[in-house]
Amino acid sequence: MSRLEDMPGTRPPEDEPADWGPLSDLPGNPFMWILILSELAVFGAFLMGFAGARLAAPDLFAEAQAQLSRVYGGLNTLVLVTSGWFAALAVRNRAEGAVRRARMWLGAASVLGAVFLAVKVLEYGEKISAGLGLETNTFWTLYWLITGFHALHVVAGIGILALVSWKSSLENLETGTAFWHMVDLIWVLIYPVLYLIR
Amino acid sequence: MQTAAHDFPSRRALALTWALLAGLTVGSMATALADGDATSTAALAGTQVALILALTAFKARQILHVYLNLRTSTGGWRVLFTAFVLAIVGVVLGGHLLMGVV
Repeated sequence: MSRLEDMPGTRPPEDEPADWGPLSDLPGNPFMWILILSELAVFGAFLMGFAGARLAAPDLFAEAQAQLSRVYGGLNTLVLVTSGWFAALAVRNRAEGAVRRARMWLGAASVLGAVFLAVKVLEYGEKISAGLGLETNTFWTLYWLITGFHALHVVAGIGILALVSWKSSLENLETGTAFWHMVDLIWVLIYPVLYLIR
Repeated sequence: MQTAAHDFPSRRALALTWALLAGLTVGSMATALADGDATSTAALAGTQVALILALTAFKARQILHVYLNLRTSTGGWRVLFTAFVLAIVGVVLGGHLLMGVV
């Protein structure tokens, strides 16, 4: 025992997880939780900004919101919470060693992600046809920024689900589906603020 | 944190959570569309807005605790994420209530 790192208690064993401090208490990869906190902060600021802008022009926001499909938005919420259920089932199956079934549930979650995007494309098409663009007014600027940024996260999420379906260790699945649930969580916050409250 | 199979929510817990999230989503829509007009510009009552945001906060909590499995973490983390959600819905509700004042 000539070197310091070979002495007992000075180097963690190879199979012991790294110590992330308080982040080690969170399930899955701590990096994903840092991302989830950051995304919540960014979208939270967006939604608080939206509420502030609405306070300054309530009539304009009410008239603009009436041109959104509240039913499409609700349908998409149901699609994403169902997709989140399927992603959680994938992790449950992977934890039990059922890799093929886990991949099947990840595939089902991704298909619903694609359904969400298809509904969004329909909605965006209607708005563009009606001439409601990024520069129409404050409501539509915030609408396009918030929902567009979220839709990009859905696209990224489908890619991540495909990646963890391929490299399907339990930690990868837990981490990849955490991103998906974050996308779901943020939409659950966006829907009432943009589509329902007036 | 290393997790074993028994640390993940059961299939039954996941199914119940999904049913709750779907039901609360329909409940939020029904509250907002209570006048039967999907394109209404009429302002909602403060109680309707408070109910929609309370349902939203509860949905967010369920996603965090069950889908994201935060229930297996420490109380401090659960409080932090809950505070994040409550801050967002609180500012939105405050903004709505202030509309008649400013």
